[in-house]
This record gives sequence, C-alpha cells and structure tokens, in this order.
Amino acid sequence: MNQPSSKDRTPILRIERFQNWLRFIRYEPIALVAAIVTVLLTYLVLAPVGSMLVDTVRVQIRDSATTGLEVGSYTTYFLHRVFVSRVSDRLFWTPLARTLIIASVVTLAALPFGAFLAWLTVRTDLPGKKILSSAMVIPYMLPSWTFAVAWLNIMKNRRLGGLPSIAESFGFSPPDWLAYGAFPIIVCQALHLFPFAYLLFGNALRSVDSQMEDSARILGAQKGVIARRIILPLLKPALLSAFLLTFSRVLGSFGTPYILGSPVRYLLLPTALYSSFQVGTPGVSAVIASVTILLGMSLIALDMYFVREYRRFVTVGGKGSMSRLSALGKWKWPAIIFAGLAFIITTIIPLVTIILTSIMYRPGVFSLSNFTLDFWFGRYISIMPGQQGLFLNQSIIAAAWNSFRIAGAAAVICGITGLFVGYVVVKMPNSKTSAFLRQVSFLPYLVPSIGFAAACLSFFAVRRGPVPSLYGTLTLLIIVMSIKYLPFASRSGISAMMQMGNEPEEAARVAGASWGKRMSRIVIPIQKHALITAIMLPFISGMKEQSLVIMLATPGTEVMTTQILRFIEYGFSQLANATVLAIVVIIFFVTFLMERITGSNLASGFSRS
Amino acid sequence: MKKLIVLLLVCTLALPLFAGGQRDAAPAPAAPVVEEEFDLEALIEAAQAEGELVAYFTSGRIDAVGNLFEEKYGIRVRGTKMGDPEQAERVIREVDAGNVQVDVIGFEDGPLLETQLIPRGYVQSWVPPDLKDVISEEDQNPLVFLWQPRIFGYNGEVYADGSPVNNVWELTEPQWKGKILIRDPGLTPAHLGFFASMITNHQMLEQAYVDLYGRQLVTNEENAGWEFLKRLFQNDIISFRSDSDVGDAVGSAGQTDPPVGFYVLTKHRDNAAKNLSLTTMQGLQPFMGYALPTYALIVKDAPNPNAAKLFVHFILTEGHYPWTGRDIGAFSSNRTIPPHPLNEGTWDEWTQKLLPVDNVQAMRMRQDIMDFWLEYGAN
Repeated sequence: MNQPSSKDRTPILRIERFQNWLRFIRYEPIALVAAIVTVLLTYLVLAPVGSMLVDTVRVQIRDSATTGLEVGSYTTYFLHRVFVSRVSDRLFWTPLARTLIIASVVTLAALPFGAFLAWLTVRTDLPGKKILSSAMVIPYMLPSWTFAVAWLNIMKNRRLGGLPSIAESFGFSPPDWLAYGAFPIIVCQALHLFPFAYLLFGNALRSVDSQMEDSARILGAQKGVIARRIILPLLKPALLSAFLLTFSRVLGSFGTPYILGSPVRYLLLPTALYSSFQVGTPGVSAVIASVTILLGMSLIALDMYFVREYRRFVTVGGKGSMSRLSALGKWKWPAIIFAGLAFIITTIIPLVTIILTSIMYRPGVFSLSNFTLDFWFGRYISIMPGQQGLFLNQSIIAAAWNSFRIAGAAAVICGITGLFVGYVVVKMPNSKTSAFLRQVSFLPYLVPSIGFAAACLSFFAVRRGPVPSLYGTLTLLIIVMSIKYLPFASRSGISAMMQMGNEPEEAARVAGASWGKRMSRIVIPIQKHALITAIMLPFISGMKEQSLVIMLATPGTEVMTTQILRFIEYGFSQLANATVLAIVVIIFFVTFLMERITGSNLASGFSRS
Repeated sequence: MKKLIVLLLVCTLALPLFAGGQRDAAPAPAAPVVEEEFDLEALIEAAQAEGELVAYFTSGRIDAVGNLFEEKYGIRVRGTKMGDPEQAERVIREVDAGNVQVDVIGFEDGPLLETQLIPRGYVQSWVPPDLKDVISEEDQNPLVFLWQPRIFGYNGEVYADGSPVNNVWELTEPQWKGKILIRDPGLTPAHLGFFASMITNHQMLEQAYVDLYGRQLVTNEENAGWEFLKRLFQNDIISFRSDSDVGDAVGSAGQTDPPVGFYVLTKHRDNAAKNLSLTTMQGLQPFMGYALPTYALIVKDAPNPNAAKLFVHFILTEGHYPWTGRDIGAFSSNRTIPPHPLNEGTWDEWTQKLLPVDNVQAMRMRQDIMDFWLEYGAN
C-alpha cells in the first residue's frame, strides 16, 4: 500500500476531466447512450434470462414433485437427464439433430426463395410488382400454425381419421411422409418464414447504388464479377440477418412441428421442451431452452465475425444514389408465372382457406345451404349457443382493442430502442459494448416464450428499488413484449445504421449541430423506413403472440390470440378462423396506414428507397 | 476510463433493481374471513364488499359461470381458461412474490395439488359447511367440484352393431395398429396418472388377459400394467392436441375404417353440432377409462377470499348448470344435482367402470411413466 495512487495525486485534474467530458458528451453522447441502453437491456433481458438459466440446476416446486428432490436445492439431475440418461436420446439428441437439419433446410429453402422474389420486385420491371411487394408479407402476418392446419386439411390421410382431406376427396391418399413429419414441417416453416429474407434482401437491394455497377462496368468488369465482387458483398449483412432470424425462429417454434409432427410422433427440440414444461419438469425444459440459447448465441458470434467487413460497404452516403431496373426481356413470362405461383401458394391459398372456413357451417361441404355469414354478422349462431358473429361479439371486440393497444405500445418502444441499439453498435464497432448489445438484444428471440414469461412473472412481481411491482398491470405485458420482439428492431436498426455512412452526421457536426439535433434532423429522418420496419415487425408478432400473454395477462385482459384458443377449445373453429382473419386485417390495415402516412413501405424498411 | 466511471455510477444506482426485491408495504388488510358458524348471507355480504373475482379454470365454461355469478350476486368475475402447468406456475410465482392476483382456481392436476400445492400452502381446499352432507367424503379433501369420465369411444355409424373392442388388450393387437387416438400423454399429466393406476391395479389387466386369450400373460416387465402400456405404446398410438380433435377424428360421418379414441365424455355434445357418431365402449373390460376430477381451490392470500368462497359455493350449487345441465358428460360432486339425462348413468354407476387415480402414487410414478412413454411411444 505504499505506492501513491493516482486518485490522491490528481483530484482536481480528475474533476476537470470529468467536466470536460460532460461538455464533450453534449456533442458526442454516444458513450452515455451506450451506457443507458446497456443498463436497460441488462436489467430487462439478462435478469429474466439469467433466472431461467439458474433453473437448469435449481429444483423448482413442480420439479420437486416429480423427482423427489428438495425445492431450492441445486442438482445436476436435469443436465444428466437431458444429456446422458436412458431417455436422453429420445428426449434430446435425436430431436436436436432433427431440429438442426430441419432449420438448415428451411433456411436453405426460404433464403433463395425470398431473395429471388425480392430481386423481382425491387430490381426488375415485373408487372404488378407493387401488389406483389405488399402481399409477400402476408404469410408472416398469419399465425404460424395456420399453414400446418391448412396442410393437414389438404394432405392428411386416414391415419388421422375424421373428415376426408382435400387430396383424399380427389381420390389420392397421401403417404405418411407427405402428410406428416419432416417434409411438411419444412415446407410450412419455409412458407411462413421466407418474408424475413424477402424484406431484408429487398431493402438491401434497394439501397445498392446502380452507379457502383455502372462504374464497375465502365472499368470493364464482367457481369459475373459484378455480381460476385459488388452485389453479393453488399448483400452480406442482409444475408446474415435473414439467416439468423430464419434459422433461430425454426429452433424455437412450437406450433408447426407439433401439429405436423405428433401424428407420427416426430419430436423436435421445441416440442420436447414444451412437453417437459407441460408434464412438470421445468428444469428439463430450462436445460433444453439453454441449449437453444447457446445455439443462437453461436450464430450471433458468427454474425459478429463479419461485422468489420460491413463497415466497408456503406451504401447510404451523403451523395445521391440511383437505382435502375433490369428489363426481364424474354424472361418476363416465366417470371410472371413464378411470382404468380408464389403469390397463390403463400398468400391466396392460406387466406382463402381461412375465409372459407369462416363462412361454412361444416367444412368441406360445398352446398349453398352450408354457407352463412352468421359467424361474421349473426346475432345468434345456431350451432354456437351464446356466441355472436365477429362484428357483434363484444368479447372479440374488446380483445381486439387490447391486442392493438399492447402490441402497438410495445412496437413503438421496440422501434425506438432498436434504433439506439443499432446506433451504438455501429458507432462503437469494435468495443465490448457493441458486442454485448448485439448478443443481449438478440437473446429474447431465442428464449422460448413460455419460459421467458414465467421468469418475467417472478422477476417483475416484486418491487425492485424504484421500479414498482408491475405484475398485474398492462405495463408489464407491454414491457415484456417489447423485450421479446426487440431483436427484430435491433436487427433492423443495426442493418440500417450499418449502411449509413458517417458523412451526413459529420457534415452536421461541422455545422455545429448538437447531438439531439443531429439525431432528430438527420439520423432519424434518414432511418425513417428502418424505424417503420422496426416498429411493424414487433407489432405483427405482438398481435400474434400467445404464450407470453397467457402467462402474464391478468384475467380480463383477453387478447385476440387467447380468444382464438378458447374458440378452438370449444370447437368453434369458424369463429376462431374469423378472428385469425381479423388479426390479419388489422395488421394489414395498420401497415397500410403507416405506409400512407410515412410514404414508405414495410418492404423498404431497412434503408432509404 | 470516463466510460467506466459512468458505467460504475449507473450500476451503483441500479443496484437495488437487481437486489432481492422488496415487497410492497402490506396491502390494506383484507376483510375478515368468515369462518366457523356458516352464514351464507354473511358470506354474500362480505363477498359483495370485495372487488372483482379473478378465476383461472381449466374449463372454458368459466365465462358462462362467471356471467351467472355476476347476475346473481353483482360480483364481476374475470375468468380465464388456463391449463394446469400455467396455473401452477402462476400461482406458485404469485404467492412467492407476495403479489397474488388470482382468487380461485379450477385445477385438474391432482397429483401436483396433493403432493405440493396444498402441503406447501399455495392453495387451500375449502368445503362450504352447508354442503358437507351432500358431497361425498372422498370428494372433500381436496374439494372436487366436477367429475368427468375420460373413456374409450368409437364411431357408432360404422360399428352399428356395437363396440368393436370389448377388452382393452385387443387394443394392443395388430388390427388396431396406428388406429388408436389419444390426447398427447406428453402434454397431459392426467393421462400419466391413469397409466400409473393401471400399473398399481395390474391384477385387473392380468385377469383381463386371461379372460381374452385363455392363458396367463408372460412378461419381462415388472407386471401386467407395464406390459400393457408397452404394447399399447408400441402399437403406434397417435397423439392429438386435444380431446376435441380426437373426438372429431373418431366420430366424423362418412368414414369406412375409422379409428377408436380416448377422450372426455363431454365431447359427445358435438354429436349433434358436428354430425359425429361418437359412442362409448360400454362393457369394455376391465375398465372403460378413468375418473377425471376438477378441483376448486382458494389461493393463499387471495385478494377476495370471501368472494372466492362464495364462488366455490356457487359452482357446487346452481352455478353448476353450464357444466352439468347445459352440456352432457360431467357430474357435480354435489349429489343433489341430477346428472344430465344423456350421461349414460349416474356417477356412482360410472365409477364402477372407471379406474380411480391415486394422486400421491401417480406423482411418485410420473417420471418413470414419462420415460416409458418416451422410450416406447416417441419416434
């Protein structure tokens, strides 16, 4: 203790430096913003996730009931059970292998499909591409299980009994591999998730300046070289983001693999997790969830590995840019047919199926007397005592308002936070903070809703310092939903900020603009479209969210998805379908309104168009 | 360095946010709980002085019941249909956090209830004293308000001459391979209790085997119960999400070779609405299924304890109508409430044909049975 510490020596200097720093921060408050965002995310994301991780080794009450271990004690039992026990093959290893394969195949299918459609709508003279570009987002607006249910309606065979499927009524009995298990899971997931790729590639393509291609061409580059050396590197951020979002979504989605897998008992990781939670071993589901999280984090590490390269490809500079359309020429008709088919398969068929089932007493019976509008406008519905049609049904209307309020508020919070995350990540590219934010802001995407919600319940049910107990308030739902869907917003924020060069902000700084002014007059206007995407994607997901709401909504705050569950339980499938449709219509209407007001569209969110 | 200082500063400020968490000052003392001398009028008065009642029930009919309750007593019920695992998680976490939102629950996972939730004091079973004489002793601890048979059924349109299965061992034969539908045992704790009961009552299955095949069962498993389960699981039994889906698949009209299924009797209400031909396997040996109870419980530190009690009283009396009067398939534990005429007998008659589930035993065996299902049932 005899060495003089720097503190003793220079107290005055320190204060001065601090004052200097305060002065500096008014102009360059990046560190402050970083600190605030970091603390916020640590508190809101890491704490609940951490408490869930602890459950992998700590015995909860429900675990104690099945295992006989003492509540609150620490154990390796769950790890043991998942990784090396008699059942670990069935419970974990096989589902893990299947899940990884399926996620890879889905990604491999969805990415090129989405990218190609994006190219068609952004960079070619394809007729009708305006309609196409709005419609291609619809598959993502549908709850994911609607594809699975539609698949069963079309393809199921006698194994599941019941009314004949459409294939069967045409005299074709689909074999089991076509009706259930891996194949349909892949198809349905790919159809549901390709909009990620579509949106991200669309935005990236839009911001690629045609002048770069021109310059290359003038310098004598071949078409192949231009594609390989110019276009592809520019699309890399979009590619990585699309890969990340699609792949991790397959890791975590329960509905589709459950509906299509259970007829042949084809267990995937999310199904195994859900089942463990349901039968009362939350410890085991926490272990499986942690594996999912680890997988996802390694994907982000991969993503970060490429981050430095992005920096070199700023596409939104201070100069003008132009975007030229390629003429399709002789490929016009094949392209039209391809786009038309994509439109029909991904959008029209699911929508028509849902509409039809909401206006027929008995599904599949095409006689005039079987059609009715009662499920929409009826005061009394003969086959559903006590229910009114959608427009007169007070509980649906109340639920719609709740859904809208919760998802809307969460989406706005997400969007703004996401933009700041993006700002910090990009402005401090090599710092630990940047890496930390990238990882943490993506975490909630990887955590299964049900476990996350349970953890949040415990965490927010008590007062912590200045933060009052939030459980039982609408605020909690909004906060938790903002956390859960922050990844969309932060990805969008990061991608968008990545493409924006320093020039615009630097110019303003030279002119003496303060940070607040630079943000509000330069950065946010430039990133308006990204902000819209960062708000709309969480909004869409929030409107469809079920598990979070079930755990955290205080009774009475029914939302549309819980209404759907209730209708399905009663066998009121027509009302359930009408409600699904209402969700889609609300989302579509809000999206449309946003586009009109801001003059952008969802498909152009990640950049300036 | 500057960054570090700010970070440290912020972290220090934020410390209490992560610390153990404080409970809010004790809420206003709840109205005294009416006890001892039971006086329904006093209970009603005390209940009406409280706020809105919050109820989580496994049955969606909580809505209809809530409306009836509000009509009668003017107390609003915010009811939510919620599965057992979610209910358990919520109640445990709410009570642990000292921030209880829910007053009363309708719960089906008896094993968890009897081994954990009640012994640990998370919920409390309360029997209205004025109803003690009309509810059987064994339904009082913990309080069951609803009984349902969960049974095997078949398509009566195709098998017009009677049940195609008369002994449960037939279900393990090749002609039923891939043709037995059941709600996913991996999502249905109650089924695991049923399986446990088969194992503890293995003599019944042993005898049924002799009755069907005329010889003793030879098995490497511990007993006939395990052997039966193994053969049943290996006979490619098909999991569904819900009993409704099972009922639809089994009962739909126009099939030529329909499967058989296992579901709650209540699904027979769909026979009219969905044009189904669900028929119970009356006479199936040695049992038709199991007796599924729904328990009514008051949550510890419920914000509206008197309204909760009144609600329990209500669902055991006239509030039972949506469950037992409007639809078929369920029985009130209040014996003065007559069963629905289409229920195929009284509850006493049904219990002769159903396996009872021993909650404590079922919980002890749950993990082993789950493993067994994973081993032979999963693919």
